[in-house]
Amino acid sequence: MQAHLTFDKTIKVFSPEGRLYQVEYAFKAVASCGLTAIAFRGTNCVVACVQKKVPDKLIDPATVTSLYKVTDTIACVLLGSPSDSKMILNRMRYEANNFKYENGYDIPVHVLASKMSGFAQLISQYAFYRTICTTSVLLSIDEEKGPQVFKIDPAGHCQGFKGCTAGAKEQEAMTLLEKAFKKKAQAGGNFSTDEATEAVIETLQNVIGSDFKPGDLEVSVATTTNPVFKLLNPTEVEQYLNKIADKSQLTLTLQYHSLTCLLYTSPSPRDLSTSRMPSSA
Amino acid sequence: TQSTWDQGFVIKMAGSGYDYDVSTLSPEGKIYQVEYAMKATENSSTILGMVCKDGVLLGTEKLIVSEMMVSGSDRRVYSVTKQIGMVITGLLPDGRCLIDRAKEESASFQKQYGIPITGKVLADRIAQFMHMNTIYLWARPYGCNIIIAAFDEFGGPTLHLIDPSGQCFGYFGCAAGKGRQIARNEIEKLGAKNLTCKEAAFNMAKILHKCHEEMKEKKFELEMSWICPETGMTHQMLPKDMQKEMEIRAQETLEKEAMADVQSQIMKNINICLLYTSDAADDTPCVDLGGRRIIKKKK
Repeated sequence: MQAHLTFDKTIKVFSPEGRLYQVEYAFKAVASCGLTAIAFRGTNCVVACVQKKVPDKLIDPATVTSLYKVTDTIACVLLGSPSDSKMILNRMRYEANNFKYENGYDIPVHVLASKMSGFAQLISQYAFYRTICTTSVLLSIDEEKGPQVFKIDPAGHCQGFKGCTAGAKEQEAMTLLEKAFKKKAQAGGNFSTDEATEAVIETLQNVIGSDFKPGDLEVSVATTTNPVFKLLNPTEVEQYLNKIADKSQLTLTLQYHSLTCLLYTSPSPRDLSTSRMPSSA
Repeated sequence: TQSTWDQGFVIKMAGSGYDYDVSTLSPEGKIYQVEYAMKATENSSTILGMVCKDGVLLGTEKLIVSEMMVSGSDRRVYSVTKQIGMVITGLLPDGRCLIDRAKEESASFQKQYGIPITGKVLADRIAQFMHMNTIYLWARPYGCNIIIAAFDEFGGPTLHLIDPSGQCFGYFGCAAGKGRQIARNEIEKLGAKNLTCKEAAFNMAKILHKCHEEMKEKKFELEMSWICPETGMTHQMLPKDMQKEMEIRAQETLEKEAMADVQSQIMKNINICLLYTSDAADDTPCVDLGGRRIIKKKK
């Protein structure tokens, strides 16, 4: 890989194929954080669900989080390097408060998202700044537009989503989420708050592949009736996890009982004394 | 076309060119300069902190560089405010710069809000400050780990460990520096949450002595501080005579434990000699040294 070795060392340099390698490496840095997050827009709600991993037994778990409040009605998921995430969070809070100070009303989430993506793009263009290795997902119930989910990546792309994923298992989670969404869309397409929360937790559990305990997840919900974000407490998370476990147990049981032994061949109808099972020759 | 800036830089080493400055990410998404800064702290003096039932403890071991050094100089533990203490390890000048910054942050917080700064807020600010030095091309990361111990009415006793990347978590017990593995294991085993500061202080002295065992020949001294009811919940150094008494006790306990270890090792190694066969031993003229039977050759 000698050819592109020198083009990826600094941010201001394009490679001959027109790629910005430093920005691409920032995406890799986000994936290496090892956590996955899913954010989803229900009919009247927004839900965010992030994995929680406490790296050390001696760490106070209350100080480990990837879910933050920018304002009471705007939450964000920040994945990637923890210190870069704090920096982005501070910047978001500054932008939100400055907007309120200058304009007299709360910043709408799409304005905040576009300001933050502008900031990310600026960082990606100037050489003296390192690319910030954080993907942010902003969630809010907008006064005019209803539930909103925005994703901003290290390159500065900013898009609104019906549901989006971020982090280590971004791609797989997105595929599963799309499936769940399509299934529901065929059945009418309305996600109640409960259904949305359950879908999100279930998808995350399927992507990670192991059963969650309430302490492995952070789930935050806001609804149109109550747009202030609420972090679900462990009991509430456990209720959803149990619901999901019961559902999957039911499908497993049905599958089990519908298998018939492949070795069995029914005995000759005339000869009741012998069976034609291989073991009884 | 390659820029002339890059021409001399094809050197095959660990970072392979991605590690010259902090504003460069490697293909795996790592920032090597920050990782190297963390290496700078790995071989330095051990620092540790513990949250106890009624307060917080901080401690560090200092290698005595020269016989001519005045005991108690080369301070590592500082008070930032009346109720916040900080201990540094790694590149000490960097650490002292951060302590100055912490004092400034505390003063400005007090001026702006009228109340003393809390441990969590201070730790967050210092972490962000250290992080700032990992983004710009013209700066280098701070090569030190710091532990901030605090007591305030909002959070109670708190402990935060900050590393060169600016990562900051709240801990029940933490350690950094050369002896961090030993220290962390001991702290986990100890369960300081259930001990008072006074009880835990002895254990801290013991842990610090244990961490130092590999370098027994080099002289060292301890610096320990606490925030507890005995100090009115302010950050103070441990009283000199109390510290001395604890260190003597700690050394004795460690020696006893070491003896017990050696004894159990000896017991394990006592095996019955495999050459021994009991009936041969009764038959004295036929047994040679080593238990070999002497077989009389037929003449």
